[in-house]
Amino acid sequence: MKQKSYREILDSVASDSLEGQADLWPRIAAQVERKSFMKTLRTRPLMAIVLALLILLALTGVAYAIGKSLGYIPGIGMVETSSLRVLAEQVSQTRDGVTVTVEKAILNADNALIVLKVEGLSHDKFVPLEPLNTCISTEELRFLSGGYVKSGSGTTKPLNGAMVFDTSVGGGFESSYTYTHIPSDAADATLFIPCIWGALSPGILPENWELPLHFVPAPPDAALTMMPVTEIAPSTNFQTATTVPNVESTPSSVVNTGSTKPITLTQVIEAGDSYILVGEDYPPAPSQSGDGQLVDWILTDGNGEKVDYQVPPADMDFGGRTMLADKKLWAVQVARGFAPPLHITHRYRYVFPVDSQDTYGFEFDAGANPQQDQVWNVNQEFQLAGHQVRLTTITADNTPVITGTPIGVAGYWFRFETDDPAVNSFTVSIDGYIPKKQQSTPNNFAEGDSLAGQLVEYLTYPELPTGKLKVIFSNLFLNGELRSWTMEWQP
Amino acid sequence: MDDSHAIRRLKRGEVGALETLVLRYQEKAIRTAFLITQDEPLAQDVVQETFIQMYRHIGQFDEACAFEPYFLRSVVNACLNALKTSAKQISLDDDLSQVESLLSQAASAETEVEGRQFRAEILSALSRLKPRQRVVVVQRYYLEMSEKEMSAALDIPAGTVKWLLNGARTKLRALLGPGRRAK
Repeated sequence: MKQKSYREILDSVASDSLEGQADLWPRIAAQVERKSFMKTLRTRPLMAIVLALLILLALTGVAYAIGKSLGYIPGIGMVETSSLRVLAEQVSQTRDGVTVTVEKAILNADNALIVLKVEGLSHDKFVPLEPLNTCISTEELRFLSGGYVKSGSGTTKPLNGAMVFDTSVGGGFESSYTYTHIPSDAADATLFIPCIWGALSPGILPENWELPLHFVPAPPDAALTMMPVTEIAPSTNFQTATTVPNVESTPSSVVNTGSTKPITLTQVIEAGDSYILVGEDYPPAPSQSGDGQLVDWILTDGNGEKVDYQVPPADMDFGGRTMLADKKLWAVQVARGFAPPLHITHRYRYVFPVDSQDTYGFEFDAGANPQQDQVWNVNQEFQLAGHQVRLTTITADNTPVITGTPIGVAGYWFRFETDDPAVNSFTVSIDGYIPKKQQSTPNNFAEGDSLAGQLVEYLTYPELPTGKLKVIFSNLFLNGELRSWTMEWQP
Repeated sequence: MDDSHAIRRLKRGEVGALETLVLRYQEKAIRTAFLITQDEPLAQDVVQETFIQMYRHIGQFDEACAFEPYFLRSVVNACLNALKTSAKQISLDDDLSQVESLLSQAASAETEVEGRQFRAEILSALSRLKPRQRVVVVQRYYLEMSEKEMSAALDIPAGTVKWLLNGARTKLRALLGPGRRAK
């Protein structure tokens, strides 16, 4: 019997004892998903009418602030004031010098947002960096009925408006988390916090906090507790920059549609110590045979310094639209305090196919039973339509597939490098096998970017191809124009 | 889509990228968690919560770092935390070396039957260790972390890691039961 490594033995020890293969995704998805705004609209015609009015007003292009009838709550979306319940009063507890304060709670018919602040965390006990953080359990909202819900989506950020934790100082954090499936008549609940996020080791900070919360109907001025939404007339002031890679006879891969608004900023949400900027992008269409690829967003301040930003969750409601469902919608969150104006740059790469039937094929022996994460260091140089590329590694992604379920995967990663800035991507295929899915990470960054020159192709199959395989590269796409549009916004 | 691409998409708010990471790493993560917790439902809960925490704090993840070791280290820490409050915590014996001994013997098992028997004994021996010692075994021999990496992950001096491992090795010979190697 072949000598096994300790890793393989321990892997077998675990697999012998585990019952089949667990699929955690449905459980995880249920916790991170939020109720769709459209679902709210279907059950709340009044809100639909108000929203229609809102859209009508927005079309005038005049900036204005929403009044008391609607407000924006992260994680919940736009809500009516009349349906809200709020925390009767702030609740605070101090144990061993650590203070937890529930600052805010906003509940509508089925969702809740709880904002809490934790202070008094010394730097020798509080390490707000994964993976050193040992607190992994999530908070629960427990009801008198005995039921409870776990916290879902949300954010944790440093106190005092900082965007990044200073680990040498300690301090604390503020977190805002949503809870779904809240009983509509719940007037009381207990917020249970099993451990403090960022705890350096288990038990080093007080645990098992129980904070009693009492909810009351929101007063008429509840809109003040929400974030005002400012609608902005779409800007027409853009700077456009275009760079073309050093490639001979780059054809035009862009069809100008005459659009005067390649990107727009349509909403600004004043989210406490930050802004959420929301807009749409309409890059000019690629040529009929070409394609367009979003590269990234770059934000710079008035001094030309890069401004850090975060992207809100893809399923967050922005007036009935989500980035998940609407690819034209974009949103970024930036901390206040940058030197104005803010420059928002959207980079977009146009690509085009090479007019060539050139292919490159080679034989690869995967063996009879490729193991998960097995790597073949290929380092094979080849040319495709005259462009030099190097296949560096092939990696097996092989965990048992259970037909009809999302469990398991059978595929290969192909990693490439190229010094040729013109190479964008190409098709990888294994002769005689039809892939279930193919995903590409093209080389679409600008020269000098840290990721420039790297390509990855990932193919999955119903069953993993094994033995001697003929791998074929074809259909080369080259980088065309890298266009960027910069828009200016003054808070 | 490789890990760094998935992380970039996740930072852009594409929840679908989380599914990619879950499908890719859940099995190894659950096995890691099970070896430490010795409790399958608890292991699944720990991995689920670790994915959710990772999703919440993805903005602070450095894309230049490899995702898998980062995530599995988080799982290990989560296991330690879960076991601290779990009623199922077991700690009867400090003898880490017995596990090493069994691993060594299982590595040269000549038949599948013999291998399976050793694996059952390893599981039993693991259950007699304190959670922190199980973590050391899992980190060193399953996740194949270096002593330096273990020291950083556990926030203990490198000397303590060496002591835990070397101390076990010196006892190895004495702990080999009679007939164990008499093949």
